[in-house]
Amino acid sequence: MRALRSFHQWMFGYGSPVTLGAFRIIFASLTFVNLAMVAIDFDAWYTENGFVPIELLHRWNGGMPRFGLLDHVTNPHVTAVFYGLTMLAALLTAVGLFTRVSSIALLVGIISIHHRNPDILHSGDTLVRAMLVYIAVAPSGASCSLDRLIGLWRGTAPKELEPVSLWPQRMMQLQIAIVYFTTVWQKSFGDLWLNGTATHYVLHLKEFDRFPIPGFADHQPMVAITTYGTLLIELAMGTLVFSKPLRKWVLIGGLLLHGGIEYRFNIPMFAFIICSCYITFYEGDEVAGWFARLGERFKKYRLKVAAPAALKEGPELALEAADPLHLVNYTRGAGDDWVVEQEQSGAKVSTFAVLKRSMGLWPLVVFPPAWGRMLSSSTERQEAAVSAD
Amino acid sequence: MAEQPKNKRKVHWAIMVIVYFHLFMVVSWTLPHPPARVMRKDAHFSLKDAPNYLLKYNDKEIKSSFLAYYMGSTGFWQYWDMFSPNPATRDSWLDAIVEYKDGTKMVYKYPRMYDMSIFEKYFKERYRKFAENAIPDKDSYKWPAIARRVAYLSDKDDTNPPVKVTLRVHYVDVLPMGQKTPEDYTVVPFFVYRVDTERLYRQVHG
Repeated sequence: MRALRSFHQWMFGYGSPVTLGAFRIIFASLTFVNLAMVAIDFDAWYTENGFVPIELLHRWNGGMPRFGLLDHVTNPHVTAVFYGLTMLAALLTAVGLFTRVSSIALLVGIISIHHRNPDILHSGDTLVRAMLVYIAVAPSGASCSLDRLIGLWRGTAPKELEPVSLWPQRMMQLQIAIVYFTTVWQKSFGDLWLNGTATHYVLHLKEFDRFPIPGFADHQPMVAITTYGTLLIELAMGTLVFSKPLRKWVLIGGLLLHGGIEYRFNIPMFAFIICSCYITFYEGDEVAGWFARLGERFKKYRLKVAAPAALKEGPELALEAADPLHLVNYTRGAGDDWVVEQEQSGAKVSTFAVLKRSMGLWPLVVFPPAWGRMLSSSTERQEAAVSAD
Repeated sequence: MAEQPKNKRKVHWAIMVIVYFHLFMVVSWTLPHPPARVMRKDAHFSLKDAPNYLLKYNDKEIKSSFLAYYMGSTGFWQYWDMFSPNPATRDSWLDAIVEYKDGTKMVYKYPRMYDMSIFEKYFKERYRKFAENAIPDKDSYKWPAIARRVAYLSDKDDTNPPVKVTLRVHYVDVLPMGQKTPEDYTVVPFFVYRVDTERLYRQVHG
């Protein structure tokens, strides 16, 4: 009973949303890349002239009605536009703009695309679909997002990150554990895994070939080591990963396993997709701490910024929030201009150096003039000037 | 393990119910099928096999019930059977013989990963996955569409269209350790498609 209560508290506790935000960026970006890679052969996979016309889909479904906005679409232009919009939703989700709407749109798009042609999906795709559900229902935009920066700028977002309910993050963790635990369970029914020769067979599947491996990898004891090692790591990922003292070592094991698979086998994106989920095993405060420590390593690049005296509070908070590495130290100057200098040398640099060091502002590099406009609109003076106009 | 709430807020009970239900369904859906021995009618329960009987119950009473719609219809469905229960022991790839109206024949090379550069195969892997999901006999309903696509891609001349497409699988079975796996692949034609030339013409010319 105590264990259940403890699980329940863990499941529905509150905490920092930083992990959810960081994970959203990584995962939606990978989803975008994954969609872009499949789009190369769009004609083959999603059109009536392709390998999977709509009529096949209805056979695949059997008696099971499946949600899908492309289920009756035979016009390839409509499908292409839908596909493009889904990619756009992935980008918006990654940068955290209109996060709730864009992440739900991404989920709906992915489900529809997957249901349009399920025969080309691998486990990485399935994991994308499963995790996007949690991203869509989580407060994913509460941190590390343009939504938050815009909210701070306008004064509508809370100054400090508020704790959020962490059940979506817990579901992400449990989902990953389920992936590994059930695959080990499935493998326990296979004699090749039990007799320690499974990886021998996989190494000889030429269609999976990627980079070469040394000859001894296909001899005992290496085959047994890699076979049982796989089972051991997968089992640990399904169980021991929840133990805080063991977590780091178990995750390193997972990274080694998927690093090896990525090197040897041609299973595009799978390793990146599943390993990106490992971040969910860390609390938001821990992830924020990583960034702070990383920033310490780059302290020689730190800047001292004397902001105009008329800098408004909202923009100041937004600029600070956009710098998770803490590489920019803002102070309120006396003048009307932005004065930026390197903390160590005192050398003056342009305000563009601030943009380079503020990860949260990186989306602006697609349109650098926006940075200048942002700075000039951040002071009372500019606001007054605009009203006078 | 748990971070204590700092602001006394609580998750609504209805959300808790939904979350636990979803978790239950994900676990149920992803559990493996039980081994054949416990599925037999004359199977007797033993403590050693208790987890397998749990799987049997899950298969029969939950995964096959109306609850299946929750996972299957919504897109929540998922399987984690990577290289399991055993990894594939057969290496296979596809091609097709295309026969034209004038009797000439050509081999259509379905994209084969082994022949591609490391860079190219990273982007084309879906072809391998699709072939894996299309070759088995249970997937024979997909073969005409594959053959039609091959005919469509092979149609270069309106006066000499493809009239017949024969799908072939090339395979080799990987032998156990200590035995040398053959280099040569066995070639098996598995489907012959007589091209509907009018349909093909409409496909090509819109």
